[in-house]
Amino acid sequence: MTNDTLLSVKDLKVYFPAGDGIARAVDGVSFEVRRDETVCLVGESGCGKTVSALSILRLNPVPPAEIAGGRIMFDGQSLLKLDEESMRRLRGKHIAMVFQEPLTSLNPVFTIGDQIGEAVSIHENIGTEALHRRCVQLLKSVGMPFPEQRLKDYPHQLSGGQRQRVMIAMALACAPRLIIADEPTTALDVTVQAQILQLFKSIQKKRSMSLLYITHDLGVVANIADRVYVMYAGAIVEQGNTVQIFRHACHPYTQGLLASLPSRLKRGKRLYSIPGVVPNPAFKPKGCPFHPRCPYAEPVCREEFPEMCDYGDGHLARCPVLFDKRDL
Amino acid sequence: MISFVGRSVVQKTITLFFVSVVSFLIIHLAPGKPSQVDPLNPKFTPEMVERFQKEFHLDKPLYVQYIYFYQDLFTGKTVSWKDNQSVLKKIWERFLNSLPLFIVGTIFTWTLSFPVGIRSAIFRGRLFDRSATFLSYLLISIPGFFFAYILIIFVVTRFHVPVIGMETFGFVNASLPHVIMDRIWHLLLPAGLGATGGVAVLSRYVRSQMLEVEGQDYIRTAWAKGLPPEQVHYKHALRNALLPFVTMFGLILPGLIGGSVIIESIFSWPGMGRMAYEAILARDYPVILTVNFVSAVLVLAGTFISDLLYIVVDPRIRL
Ligand SMILES: Nc1ncnc2c1ncn2[C@@H]1O[C@H](COP(=O)(O)OP(=O)(O)OP(=O)(O)O)[C@@H](O)[C@H]1O
Ligand code: SF4
Ligand SMILES: [Mg+2]
Repeated sequence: MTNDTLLSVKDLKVYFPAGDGIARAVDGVSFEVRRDETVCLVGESGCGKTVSALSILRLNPVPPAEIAGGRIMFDGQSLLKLDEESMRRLRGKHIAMVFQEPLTSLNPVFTIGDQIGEAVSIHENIGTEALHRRCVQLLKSVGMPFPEQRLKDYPHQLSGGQRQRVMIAMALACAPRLIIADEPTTALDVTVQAQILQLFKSIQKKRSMSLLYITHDLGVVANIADRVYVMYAGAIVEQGNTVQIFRHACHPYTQGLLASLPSRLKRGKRLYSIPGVVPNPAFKPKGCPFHPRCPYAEPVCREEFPEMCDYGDGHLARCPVLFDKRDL
Repeated sequence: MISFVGRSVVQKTITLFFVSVVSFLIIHLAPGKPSQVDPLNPKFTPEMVERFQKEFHLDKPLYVQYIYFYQDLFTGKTVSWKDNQSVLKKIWERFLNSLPLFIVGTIFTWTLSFPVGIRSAIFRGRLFDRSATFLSYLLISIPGFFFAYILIIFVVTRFHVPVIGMETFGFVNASLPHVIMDRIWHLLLPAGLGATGGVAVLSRYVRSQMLEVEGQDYIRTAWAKGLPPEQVHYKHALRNALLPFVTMFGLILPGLIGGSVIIESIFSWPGMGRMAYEAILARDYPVILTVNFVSAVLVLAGTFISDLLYIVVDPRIRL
């Protein structure tokens, strides 16, 4: 952990009861976010991205969720050990979150102005006048047309993209040091996706703020990330900067994801997709959880959970088989 | 808004008309005739019956009877067949008697159900929630009349307070504070009893409604903002959980008549419900039909109030 590390998640484990057994939704995840950088957490649906993100703010419902282990350090504080009141003061003020579902994430019975204003006034002593100006300012900064009028609107009067802009404005309300964006564009249509992504980029450039951006879309990652963590079945399988991940992917899963990017599509060839599906977190295969889908799998992969292998310069991948073959 | 009110009034008037026709028909299709009420009564000579039939147009075709009846009703001329008193006046008196019972019962029900239901939802699975659940099912499964008798016996033997009727018989020369206390004592038991069933059911509704809302995405957003628990529960969750109850609130109005027949009978409370019940036994058509009509008006007024309240509280409904 270096000096400019803002958030570090170490060996986080979050389990859910599932029928007779337990679903190890997040099973030993470690990652870091440094000051002012954009980190992407990427992986297929169900691999535990949302659960990891919610754990940082301690928003997973406990029960059913169980934090089975790990440590989350934010700016020198151990979040999992913090008392509830201190945690509450941190939420929204220092760490804010933008959710996957803009349509249902705003309260239908309060106005936009109410909901944005609340995010400010809960953490700051601010007069009515100043609060109003701040809300208008916030809406302006997320590119909302007619911010004055919009403040009086209710969520149902806005489009999906506009609602996500409101969510982003709300996240920016107290100028947090970290914003966690959990697939903020997944529920939107393509043109709006591009706009929101652009918005995140420009916000991140203008402010001194870190961004943990969660997505399953490598195209987005290439566009926005400084560093990337690839997640599979509740664990990080590869990490590195954008060039390392996109040019020199060292984990078969990352390679598979890259090969299935539509932009790599050669004329006349079928779009590649990784065979098989993400394992159910309650019945993960023994050994390397990726082995049933892996073209390089060897007998040892079925037995031993693979270690992280260090390629230098912060590039790590959880595949000893390819690591041993790297110079051949 | 104005067009909504106008449209609503027209619709409800049409509904009311059909209700009046149907209830009139049903009453007349039901077996038994008013002239058979008391064949042993020596005053009920055949001539009497004939005069009676003439006077109340019972010899005319049904639709004429219908017109006569509602004409009389709206001009306030309808009288009870039993005692020849004005029906509207009778109903009004009974209504005034039922009103305090209804109001106090409703206040009990709503002020108890909400705190209990909300707390149960917030602390689901904990001791408070489990005790509340147990008590609710106990109260729901004990028949009201049984519970009433137990309570009456308990209160009368324990506190020596008579609780039957609206006031203690022969208690006329007492001082004002005594009279008021006497009235309150007589009111509390039936009102409280009427409320227990209501609390048991309503608090369950509140709990499940609250639980459903607490699982919504916008509640997670509220937590993520750093709001304190009170604001998350009592502002963001409760406001949404209340929406369906706004509809229910309008619909309790008809309870003024039907809701209290059993309680009023047990406590000899001279209210509307008991009057309606007695009128049915006596085949006192004018009273039955008028009560029926008033109920229909109350139901329609209730739904109208609900619609209006809904517009006020739910921003998604705009006209
Ligand atoms: N409240 C819960 N109760 C039980 N299991 C849960 C709960 N929340 C998540 N899970 C399990 O945890 C696993 C990971 O879920 P998570 O939502 O983190 O996936 P994700 O990577 O965010 O996927 P997506 O791209 O679909 O959002 C899922 O398999 C899910 O079954
Ligand atoms: S460890 Fe084995 S199964 Fe896992 S990714 Fe590497 S080669 Fe494939
Ligand atoms: Mg997710």
